[in-house]
Amino acid sequence: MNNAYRLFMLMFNISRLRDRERMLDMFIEGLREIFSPCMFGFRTNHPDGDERLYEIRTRNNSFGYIEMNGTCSMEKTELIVIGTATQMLAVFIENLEFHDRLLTERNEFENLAGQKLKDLHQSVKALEESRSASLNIIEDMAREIERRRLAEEKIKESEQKYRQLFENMSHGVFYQMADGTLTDINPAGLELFGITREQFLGRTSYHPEWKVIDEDFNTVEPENYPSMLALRSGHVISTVAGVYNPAINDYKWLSISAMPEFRDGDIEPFRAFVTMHDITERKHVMEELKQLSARNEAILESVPDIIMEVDKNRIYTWANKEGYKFFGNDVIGKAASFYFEGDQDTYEKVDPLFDDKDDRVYVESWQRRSDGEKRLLAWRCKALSDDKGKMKGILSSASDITELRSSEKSIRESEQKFRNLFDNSPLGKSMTGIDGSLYVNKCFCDLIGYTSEEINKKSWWGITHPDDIEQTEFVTKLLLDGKQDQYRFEKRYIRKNGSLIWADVSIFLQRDDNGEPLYFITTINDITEKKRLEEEKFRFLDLIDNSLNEIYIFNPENLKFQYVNKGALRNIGYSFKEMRHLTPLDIEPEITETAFRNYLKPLLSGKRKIAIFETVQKRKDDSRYPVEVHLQIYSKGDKTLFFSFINDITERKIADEAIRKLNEELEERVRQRTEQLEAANKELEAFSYSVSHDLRAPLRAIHSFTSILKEDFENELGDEGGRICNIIETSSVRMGTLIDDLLSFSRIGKSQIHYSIILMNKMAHSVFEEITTREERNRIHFTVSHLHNASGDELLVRQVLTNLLSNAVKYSSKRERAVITLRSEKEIEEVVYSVTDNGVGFDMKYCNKLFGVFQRLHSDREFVGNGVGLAIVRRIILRHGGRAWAESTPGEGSTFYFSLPLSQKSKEKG
Amino acid sequence: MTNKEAVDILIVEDDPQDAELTLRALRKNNLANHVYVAKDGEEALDFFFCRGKFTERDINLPPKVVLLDLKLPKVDGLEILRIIKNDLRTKHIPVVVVTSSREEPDMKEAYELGVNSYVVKPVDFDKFVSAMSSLGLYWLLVNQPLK
Repeated sequence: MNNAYRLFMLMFNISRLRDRERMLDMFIEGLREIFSPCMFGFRTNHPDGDERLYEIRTRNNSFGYIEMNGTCSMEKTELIVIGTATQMLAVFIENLEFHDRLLTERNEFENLAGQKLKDLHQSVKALEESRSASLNIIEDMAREIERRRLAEEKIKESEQKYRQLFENMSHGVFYQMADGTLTDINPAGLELFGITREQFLGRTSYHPEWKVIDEDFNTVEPENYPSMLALRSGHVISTVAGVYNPAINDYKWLSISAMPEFRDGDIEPFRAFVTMHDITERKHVMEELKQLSARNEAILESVPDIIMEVDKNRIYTWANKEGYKFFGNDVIGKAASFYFEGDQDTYEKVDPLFDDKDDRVYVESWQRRSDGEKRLLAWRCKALSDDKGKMKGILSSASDITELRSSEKSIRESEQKFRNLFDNSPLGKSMTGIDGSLYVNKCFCDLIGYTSEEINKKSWWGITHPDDIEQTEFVTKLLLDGKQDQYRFEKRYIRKNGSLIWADVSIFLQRDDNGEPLYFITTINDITEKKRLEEEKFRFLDLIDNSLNEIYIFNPENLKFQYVNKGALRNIGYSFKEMRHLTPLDIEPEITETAFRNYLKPLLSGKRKIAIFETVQKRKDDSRYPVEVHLQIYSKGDKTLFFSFINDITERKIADEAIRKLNEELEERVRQRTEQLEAANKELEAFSYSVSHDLRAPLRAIHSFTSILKEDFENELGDEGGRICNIIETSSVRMGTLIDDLLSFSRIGKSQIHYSIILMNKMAHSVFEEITTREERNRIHFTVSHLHNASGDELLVRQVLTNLLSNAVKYSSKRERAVITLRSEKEIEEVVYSVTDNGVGFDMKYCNKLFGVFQRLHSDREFVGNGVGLAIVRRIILRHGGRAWAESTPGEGSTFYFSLPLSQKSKEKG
Repeated sequence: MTNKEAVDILIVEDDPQDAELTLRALRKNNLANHVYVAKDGEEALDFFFCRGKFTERDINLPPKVVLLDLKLPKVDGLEILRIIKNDLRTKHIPVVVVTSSREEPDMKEAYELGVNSYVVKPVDFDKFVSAMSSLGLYWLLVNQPLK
């Protein structure tokens, strides 16, 4: 705190000069070299009430602030000083106009300053954190002073301005003529020397009261005074010397510069212009600084940055603790390049500092750390100048930004990653600006069918289905209002080709750090197919639900209904809520649980796919109706359900009943008919029987009693009576034959046909033998040409042959030489037999009458016959499935044909 | 024709003319001495089992042959045949069906019931006389009945 106090004293001394310019000069020069590594700032309240905060940054801005609050009450002005003691100077620079009053108040200020210095270290840390923007006022001032100094030199050359300048210079200035006479001095100079103008003027360097010492405190002889040397040598002499000041009874340390002035053409200077800076204070400060340096070093050590100093040859000359830590304890004396890692242009970058073209340089370079690791350091370099303002080296502070860079890199990488993720996402993604502008990824383009260029020209509502715009706007508003961060919904987009695409859309609103909306991130997933399937599913479900069939789904274990369609609910009368508590057994009262489970078992085991049974279903109102149940099992994964499709078969039952009744009636009718038929058959049989029995009895009586009459009353009857009796006898016998033939004709229709292979040759000869007498055989030339065997009923076929051969014999009986020939011819499906005679023949126009019953083409007087024979033939052949026909030429003979099918199994007909 | 006289031939015939013709045919061969004509089935059965007006007839003196018509009033011929052929007392009596019927079923059933002969009466009287004569001669003279 004493240091601080002393610095204040220094300041006040300077300010006493009441010369702002000089003070600044002094300030800048001193400050640059001594305090430049420090950072300082101050805040002040001006009398007008404005509060201003000043932060002063020097070449090394990494120090942070040292806060020292001093409050100085000066009427209505409060001065608050922040910073190191040095910064106080700046306070006064800024407040020169009322520094006089400050002086008067200095004790109070001193106390305040002293108290606050205790907190220096804490303050350092506190302020380190809040450093950021800063106002480089000191440097600005320095530049300003530089400018002014240039201006001052111009003024020196200007005689007009000379005096004013001379008088007002903060430097002590005097002239010494070539003869050694001192001719002029400015007030600053007098003050330095501590004598009056009168005392000064007229003296020479040899005046005994001058006491001058060099920096080593040796007495300087008058001839070696700088002015004298300058006059003698003609060169500018600059030096430091102590000059005894009687006013203070002490030596004033002065920085003296003696400049010889020449008149035009002269070789010898005619006078010397000597300027003096009071560096007594500086000397003091130097001493103070020696003490301060320990603290400063401590400060330097405490900062986390590396601080290094290099000389003009770029050799490290100083390092703080962090510097040693980084580069190693042997860093001093090593070239900066010794620690370079890889090719770098660090030297080139700092060249402007050496060339005095720039005073600050920022450079990043890879350096080798003491442990050999390669680190990236960010250097802030500032040129250091020596007393004379000559560049003497560079002070640099460095921070290790290896991790920072790598984290920046990783941020870049993650940005890239995000971008890749966005661009290559398999889901459509878009970034939609608040204005509706779109940026989309490839997948989005593919889904919507536009190129990304086309999309960028569109807004979201340009690709949204008109019906979905309102909803989308609602969602964006919801997000913008901050009611939700994210929203998911389904909407339709219109593709370039006009088709629609259903998308599952997830919208997220990105906001900046201040919560202002930036853009929407939209993720869309094409669910068109899903939608279509859903619709199909719904349609299908709708179909099921509205099916008129009753459809039930129930649990395989507890049998409870899980789904019942509308059709079923309508019919059964329960609500679905009620149905959930019921099982099929509740509505199918006629079936036991055991029986029901027996239907389920083969379905569960997979033996059967469907079980169908009929039962009765009970409605809620207890009414019942017959149903047909189709039970099916449905398994997916471990889920098993039973489907029960129920058909109301009331109608069917009624129809079934009607059919059953009809069938019964029909059967009854058939039975009745059969009975009738049977009765008719019986009647027919009875008729046949009667014909056979009862008609023959009277015939026999007629014939017998006629015979008895002839026998017993021959004489009484006479010839004519006998002839009549004979007619009666013949007629009755003919009638008997007729009856026999009719009966046999009727029997053909009734009797069964017993098929066998018939040897036709043998049968033909046998029949011929049977029906002819020897006389007839002598008269008839009978030929049987190798006949094919036939398949048929032997007795019936024999009857056919008998009848046909009998006819042939009968109708050829009038020929002297009868010729009867039997032939056969095998055709595709039948054998055709023919019986040819050379008899009387018949007219073909009557051939259709030929085979009719009782139809005769000849009278009995010509040929005896009853017209039944051919009818019988025809009937037998038809029953065998064959045909019978005849051809004839009257007077030449006739041929009768009949055919028999080859197949034994030919069907019975007729 | 009294009940006490043994009957050689029993004719069961409802038609009186047929019966007369049969008798005439038998008489021509002197076979008509012990003939009885039953007019219907019932009378025939009464005869066989000595019932009604035949109660005094000795059942142990059966006729040597029965000429049985099939178409009879009350009980028809096949029924009579079934009864007597199923009764131990009468089953050995020779029965000849003499009928106008040529119907096969009748013939088949008659043989199955155990008829001894089946004769279809011819319409021609000569043939009829001849047939009846042969029958009578055979059953009365040739055939040896069970004693």
